[in-house]
Amino acid sequence: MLFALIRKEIINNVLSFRFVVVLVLFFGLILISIMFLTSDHQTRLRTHEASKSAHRDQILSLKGAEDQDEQFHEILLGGGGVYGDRAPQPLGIFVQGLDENLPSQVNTSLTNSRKIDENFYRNPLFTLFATPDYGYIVNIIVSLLSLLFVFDTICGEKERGTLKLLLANSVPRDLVLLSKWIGGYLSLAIPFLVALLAGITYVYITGTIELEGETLDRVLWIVLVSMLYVSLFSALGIMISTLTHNASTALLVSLFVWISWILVIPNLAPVIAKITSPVPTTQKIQAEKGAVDRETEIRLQRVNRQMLSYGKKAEDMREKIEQEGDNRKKKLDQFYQDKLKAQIELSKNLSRISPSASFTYATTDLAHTGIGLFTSFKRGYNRFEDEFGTWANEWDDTYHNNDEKYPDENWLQADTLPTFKMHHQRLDDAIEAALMDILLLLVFNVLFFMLSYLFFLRYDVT
Amino acid sequence: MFFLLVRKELLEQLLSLRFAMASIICLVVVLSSTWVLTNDYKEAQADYRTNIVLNKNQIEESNDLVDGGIKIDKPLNPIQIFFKGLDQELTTTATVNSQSEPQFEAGYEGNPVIFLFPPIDLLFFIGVVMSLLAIAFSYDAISGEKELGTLKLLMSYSVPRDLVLLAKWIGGYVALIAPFLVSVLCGLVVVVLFPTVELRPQHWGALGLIMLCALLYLAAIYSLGIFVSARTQLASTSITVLLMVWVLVVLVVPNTTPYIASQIHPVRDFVLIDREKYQIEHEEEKRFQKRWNEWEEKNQEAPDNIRWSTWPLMRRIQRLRLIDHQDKINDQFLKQLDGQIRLGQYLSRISPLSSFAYAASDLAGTGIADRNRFLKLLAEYRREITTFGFQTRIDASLNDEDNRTIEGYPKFIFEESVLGDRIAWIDILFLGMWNILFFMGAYLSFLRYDVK
Amino acid sequence: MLEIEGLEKHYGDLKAVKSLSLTIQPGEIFCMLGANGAGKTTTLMVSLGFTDPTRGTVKICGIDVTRDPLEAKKHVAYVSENVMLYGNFTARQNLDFFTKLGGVKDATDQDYKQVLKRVGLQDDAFNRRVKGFSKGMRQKLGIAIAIMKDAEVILLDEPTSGLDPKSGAEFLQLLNELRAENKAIWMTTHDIFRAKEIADRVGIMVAGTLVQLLTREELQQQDLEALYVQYVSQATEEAV
Repeated sequence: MLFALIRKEIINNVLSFRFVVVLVLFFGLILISIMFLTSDHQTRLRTHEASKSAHRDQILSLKGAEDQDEQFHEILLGGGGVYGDRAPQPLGIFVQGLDENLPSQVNTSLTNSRKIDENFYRNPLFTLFATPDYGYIVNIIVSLLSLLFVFDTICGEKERGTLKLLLANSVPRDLVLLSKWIGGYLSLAIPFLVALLAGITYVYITGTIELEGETLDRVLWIVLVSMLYVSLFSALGIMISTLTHNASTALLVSLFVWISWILVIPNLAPVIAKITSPVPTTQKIQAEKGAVDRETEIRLQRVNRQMLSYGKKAEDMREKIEQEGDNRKKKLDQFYQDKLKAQIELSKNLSRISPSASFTYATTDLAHTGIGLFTSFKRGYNRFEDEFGTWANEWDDTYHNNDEKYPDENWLQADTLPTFKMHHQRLDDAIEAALMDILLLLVFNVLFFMLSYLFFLRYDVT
Repeated sequence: MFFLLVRKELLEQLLSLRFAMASIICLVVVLSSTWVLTNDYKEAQADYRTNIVLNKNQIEESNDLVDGGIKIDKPLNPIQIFFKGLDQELTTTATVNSQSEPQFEAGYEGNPVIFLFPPIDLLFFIGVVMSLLAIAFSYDAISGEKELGTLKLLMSYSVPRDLVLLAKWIGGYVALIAPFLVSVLCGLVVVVLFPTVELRPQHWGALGLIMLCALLYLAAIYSLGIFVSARTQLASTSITVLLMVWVLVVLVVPNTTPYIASQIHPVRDFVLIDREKYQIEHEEEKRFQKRWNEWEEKNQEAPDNIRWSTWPLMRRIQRLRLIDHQDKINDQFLKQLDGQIRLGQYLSRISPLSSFAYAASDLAGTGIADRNRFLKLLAEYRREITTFGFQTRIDASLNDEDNRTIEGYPKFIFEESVLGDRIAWIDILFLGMWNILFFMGAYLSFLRYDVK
Repeated sequence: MLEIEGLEKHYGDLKAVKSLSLTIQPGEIFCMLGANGAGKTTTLMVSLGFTDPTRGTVKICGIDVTRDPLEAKKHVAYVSENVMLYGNFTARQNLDFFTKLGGVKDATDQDYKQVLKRVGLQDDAFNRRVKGFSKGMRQKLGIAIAIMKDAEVILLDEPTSGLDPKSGAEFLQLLNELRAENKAIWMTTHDIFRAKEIADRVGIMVAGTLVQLLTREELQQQDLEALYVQYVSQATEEAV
């Protein structure tokens, strides 16, 4: 009997005008999105390779330079410093997340870091409207379409009069509901999966990224999360249908719920977190660090006046003062990081009221284009800066201790030069990071289905 | 009779669930987002004031404009409470120095969740949410009434079809925009009640014009809804068609056209441009060193103050020339980028949302033209402080002074552009055109509509 | 007066109405019987100007419906088979709207209450929202709306379907009163018995053709039911 009911639901759905629209939109949008972002990724990869190559050439040209002073100056003493390049995340094709917000080039030097303002070179229209990546298509568009596919599955049938007819037979209500859920979900999920498969095939054929091993596993996980998300909206739509008695009311309720829950709440949460859990500006922190430096300088000067400039006691005192200064600055940095972390956690938790947020966090974690990437980047950059600082100071000391003579002409070795590296996140870690959000999506699914069940048992079919 | 029809349409809408729903959404969203964004603005004002003081202290302490440079903060624009535009953050801080191009505070320093979920401003609310509500108010205007059976009864009376259509249009549109206008008004009250937020007459003017554009935009979407309703026999068909169109027009076209434009009209790779600039910097530096060494050799007998003042003099010339080179490269690039932007804009104007977004951001002073103006002013300021900074060094060296002073250094002034210059006539024209097109479509369709 | 002359309505190859000519005089009740799809409703739709005839004319009070629909509609009131009204409006609001639309500007609440009473609706229906009305109540309200228009011609499409026997009887009484007010009344119906009771003339329409036209006297002499069944069965056989 269940099979017959499901079959009837599917046939009914497939023969509807709505199904045609949903099919066309799924295919059209997912494919177009993947095609555009694949092309964009190829461009960014080319830029990345060109950048890496240019930076390598720069180092090599310096090695060959006759004037060692130039080499030294270029890298250490207030020159260009050292560059690092960040490749675009492969799965940014599907879920761009924060990938385009983070720079593709970094630079560190002993004086000013020479940053390229990548935003200057970017078309501002990209900022005005959201990136139409697969994640956006599913998050915003597929959710709406899924909801509107099933919103009148119960109340519409009541209006048409066929629900009465159905239940006049010896058919348990729970089977009817289950068949509606399965039938509705399959009618959505199959075209969605086929469209997605077509998109993945396109990526595979173009060879833009290597779809194998861990990358493929990540994609499969993203597909799983997407299916969970679509199912959530199916269940929600059915629940709304069991709460209303005519299709026009169900439509309005569905739109109301979608607008509030998917469009509004996730976007209000970070700003609320910004207000309730503020973070000092980097300028403020820099200013405070500057104050610490000035204080350290004053204390050092005092030591120099009070004691002999040389001698172990003075030396120890100076070291202690500098160490204290460094510790205070580290504490300021830590304070900033803690505040930022607290704000990020609060924004995430507030936004998780909406499944849209959970979907975004889960997919960006799995694609490694989310907050995890942001953290990796910052850590990598800090490590890069620290390593360079240590390396540069060592050579600077060598220079000074060598009576201001240049070091060995082979001092500039590519393999000893500090490099910018980001920690590669393992799939297990990605899944662990995404787990809470995946569970939340599952909970919403179960909740809506259970509620539909409860409401439908009491539903007035007359 | 016409007023009778309008009254009936309006009353019907006001008694409906969708009106209640729209009222709740409008009030809750506009009020909460205005309150939240105004608070955010208040924080930004505090940051701005702090930054101004910190920057002033820093520059006065360093007493040098040439090497360290100067940090400037772009004055806040209170309209950004309502229309964010191109700036993700309310505050923009840039470091301007003579050696390198203006550097902006890195966006990745703050909370990344804001990039994943940008705050809702009025552009988003009107563009996406209100347009969806416009569809909800119009999709069953004709087809729904036919399905209901009342259209037959109505048309059995001596009422001209054009009056019926016009009455439906007016009644539904007024019901749609009433809660919207009320909530925007409440939002403005919230902003005005914040003592620190100062809305000057030009801001009110801009907001007024943006609201007119919003009404034009919503009218276009609403007319589209009536048009589709007059071409279908079932409300379920109308809503399916309209939602498909809405998804394409509001969620897809504006977002994908920049990609299309970037494919058709690509720009030079920024890596290559940066390399070119780097090469020029390098060459200029070499040339300067060579010139200076030559001069020093020739003028070994010159007094100290002449020697010490010649160096910054020559340096200034070199720096200004470097800035010229860099600006020339930037201008060439921006011209190319401008071509891509224009193409993207023209392609995207098939969506009324794009036209509205461009018109609103331009009027708010947060659009592309204002961004370019800010960058240009920064470039000019860079020249100013280079000239001034080196002059202080020259003067100090000439006068054998140990203490040079940067007193009276040029300040960065960024004034809002004239409102009249910010009106995007072409986008307003497009919005008007969509209105006429869809209304005519609805009109012609309803004249032949099968009411039975 | 309702004058139908040589009316034909074709939908492609389908001839929904074939050469119908008929005149309904003021103070006359005409009942049109016929199976579903016989062409009764199509005739009504043409008379209301909702669709143009393929051939022939329909005139209401001498005004050609096709040439001057707006003018013609001033003289006709219509009650559809399943009366649907504005659900969020009360009975009073619906009445008020349609009465004013019909050009009657000076109607008062008292007039509305009277007409509701006349059609058999309870007093409490006056300020109740129509969406809570049963089918029968809506039917009565539809008739009330038609009465308020005070048009010379009244077109009724299956007006007694959904009415209980008592209400049906009350409705017939109402029709009598309207006939006495000199209205020309056209009623399509399946209800042979009521047709026999009230009609001045009865027509039987089969597959677009008026096959039988009986006066009151002829009705008394014939078995209308048997006649109707005979015609409908013939038509069914021919169709098969």
